[in-house]
Amino acid sequence: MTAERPEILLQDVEQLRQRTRSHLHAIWFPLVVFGGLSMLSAAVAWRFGGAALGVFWLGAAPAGSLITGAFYRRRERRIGLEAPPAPYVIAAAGIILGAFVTGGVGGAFGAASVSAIGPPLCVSAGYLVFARLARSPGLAVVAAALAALDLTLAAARMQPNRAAWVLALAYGVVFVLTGLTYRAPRAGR
Amino acid sequence: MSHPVGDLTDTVHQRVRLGVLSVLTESRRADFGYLRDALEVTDGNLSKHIQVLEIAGLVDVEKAFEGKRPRTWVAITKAGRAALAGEIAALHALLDRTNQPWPK
Repeated sequence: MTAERPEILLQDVEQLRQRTRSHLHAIWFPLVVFGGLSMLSAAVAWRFGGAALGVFWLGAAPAGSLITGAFYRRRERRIGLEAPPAPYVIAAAGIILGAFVTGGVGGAFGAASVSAIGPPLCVSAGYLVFARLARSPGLAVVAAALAALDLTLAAARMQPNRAAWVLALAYGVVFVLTGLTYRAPRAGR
Repeated sequence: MSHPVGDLTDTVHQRVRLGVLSVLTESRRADFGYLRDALEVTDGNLSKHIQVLEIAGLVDVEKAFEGKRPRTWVAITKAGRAALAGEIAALHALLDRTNQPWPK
């Protein structure tokens, strides 16, 4: 049996685990992709009203998910490290389902404010899950802050069509900036 | 009360093997090259340690081809996760024990 001190071995274990997690969880990519799509959706909502967002995301959500999945698959092959996909797929499916249900239910019952703030809240909840999976306190703070903005606009009784594009734009800009911030120090991998 | 050093197992209580299990527990699987670079060991050294872990049932090894390029993927098993958790617990217990003052 080797004679390394236990505290050194425990330190090595923790450092390796952290480094592996940081190599695995390239969270910048989905943030930039879905942030960009969200900014685009803001333009759609501004031009055609909040109800048009459902149609937009019907195409954009699966497309963004497929692009993100392809990116991770290609990256994993390149670096030789694979993450278990199930938790991420389940979280992504939860976001999409939750957003469509809250958006649809709100629209069906004439509760325009629910259909305006419900989907972004589902996105925030989903990104809190991603933050937990990636052990990223920064992402958790971003998701929580956006959820707070969502609830603030609801409390302020902002006109739903306006709230829809304001939130879409806010989420988009914040996600893109956050993604670019995460991307910057990891240009090597 | 038994001494926590008795809970350490030779198979896991080795720096490279502990490192392999630590990387694999955070991932679905890792390839040989990634493990070698992460642990800063030679091919031969890593190969020997992975073989020990595989024989003990703590990792699964899959050899595949990507086009013409051979690739060796290593994944931790359920037993491997349990063994790593046990080793970490034993190391913590050992640390707590060694930090206690000697009885007078």
